Amino acid sequence: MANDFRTTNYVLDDYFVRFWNSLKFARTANREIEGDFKSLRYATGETLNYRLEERYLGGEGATAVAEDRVQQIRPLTIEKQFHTMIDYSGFELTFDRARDEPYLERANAPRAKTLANKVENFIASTKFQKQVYQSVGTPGVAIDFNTTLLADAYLTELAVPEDSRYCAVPPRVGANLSNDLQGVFEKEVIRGALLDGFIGHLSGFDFFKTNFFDRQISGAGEAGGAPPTGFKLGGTVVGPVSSGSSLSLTGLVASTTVFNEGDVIEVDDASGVFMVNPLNHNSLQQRAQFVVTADVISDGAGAATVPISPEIVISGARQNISAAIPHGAQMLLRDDHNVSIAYHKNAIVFAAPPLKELRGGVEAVTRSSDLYKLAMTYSLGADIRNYQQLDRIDVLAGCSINPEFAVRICS
Amino acid sequence: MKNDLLDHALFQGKMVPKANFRTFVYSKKGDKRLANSWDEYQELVSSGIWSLEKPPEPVVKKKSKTDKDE
Repeated sequence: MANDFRTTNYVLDDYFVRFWNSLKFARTANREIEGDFKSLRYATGETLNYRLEERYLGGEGATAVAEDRVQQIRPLTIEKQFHTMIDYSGFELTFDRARDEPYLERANAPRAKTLANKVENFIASTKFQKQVYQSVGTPGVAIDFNTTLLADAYLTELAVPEDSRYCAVPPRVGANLSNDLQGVFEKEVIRGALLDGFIGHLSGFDFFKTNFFDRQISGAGEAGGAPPTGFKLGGTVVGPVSSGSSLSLTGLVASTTVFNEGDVIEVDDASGVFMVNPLNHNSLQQRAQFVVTADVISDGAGAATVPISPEIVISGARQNISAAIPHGAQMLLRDDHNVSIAYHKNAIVFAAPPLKELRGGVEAVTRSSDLYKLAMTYSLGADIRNYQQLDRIDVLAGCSINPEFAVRICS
Repeated sequence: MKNDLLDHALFQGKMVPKANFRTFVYSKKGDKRLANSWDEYQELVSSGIWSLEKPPEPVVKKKSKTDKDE
């Protein structure tokens, strides 16, 4: 029994390192909340709320006005249990030595990568990509060095800290970028290849390639007109709108999907509504931007109510756009585009707490690392009726996105 | 309640707050202008030049084959 247990531990350690090395988004995420799940001195439940930094307006002069402390919280829910399981027959164990070294290795590496891919897909495709609204670049136009500098500048204008910035790009976008940068890029690739898939440090970001961003296919929007390059017209606002998380629009293509979840819409320049610096609330050059949070189908008259993020705030310490959106404002919809995302580590809050091991005829062990802030559970069971060995690995995962800390780069 | 009513106005069939009121208005010639307050909007509309109604898009007629320059 003791020998078997040691073997199980060894196998899990092997998985653990391979799994960790295949992660990119999870590795670059904020992991500070994980400890609260891990300690489990009392039943935390599956959700922990964390607070966003409080914001204040301040003032000047002898007479001060007290401001309300407004604490904004966001939930981090452990909502996924990813696993990989294989079974071995008695013959496979005996004649193929399927669970013996070095043959076990043939399964370990791909299984660890499969688990890592599931976690990464969950973070990048299911969560991250659909929530980022701040955008630069032109749909249909290849990313160049200037675009990445613009993303860096935009993050700084949005008061995002300069440290721990990353940029995830699809491989073909990375190829275009590489072509644009030529010599500088190659040198950085060689010097900065610290992790599997990492490209290097350029224009303020640690770049890495990812296969987990989907191309954003935009809805039909509004037909015709003369939108800027890379955009469709996106309907006219029925307003004015000074608060809330939805926009009422008219002039859209009738009875069709006019917006898809993850579409980015912007308020036309003529309306004078721009993004603001969240600390001094000065207006930026960037048009006010929102992401559509669910697919939207227009009615027969071409009207629709569009759910958006972030919530519109036009005054106070949490102001995020420069003015109310006027009645009659023209909306612009970013056309189909490849998605890359430049972000600070606080854009992704990730946790992978330990899973309670099964008991009763199962040999199970959980490996939890304070260094990696990650836990993985290995369970080995037996089906004696069919004489099969069941071999399973599980990872729990939860992820919360703070989109204020990210900028989508469209191309 | 009284103050609430004074702070709001009926606009396009809805009660909207006068504060932060903004709307585009249009002339019959097709010009577009942004009114940045309720008072400015009232002033523009009362001038008779501006209204909330967008003028219809001009229809471009195709030249007929019987035109002289053909």
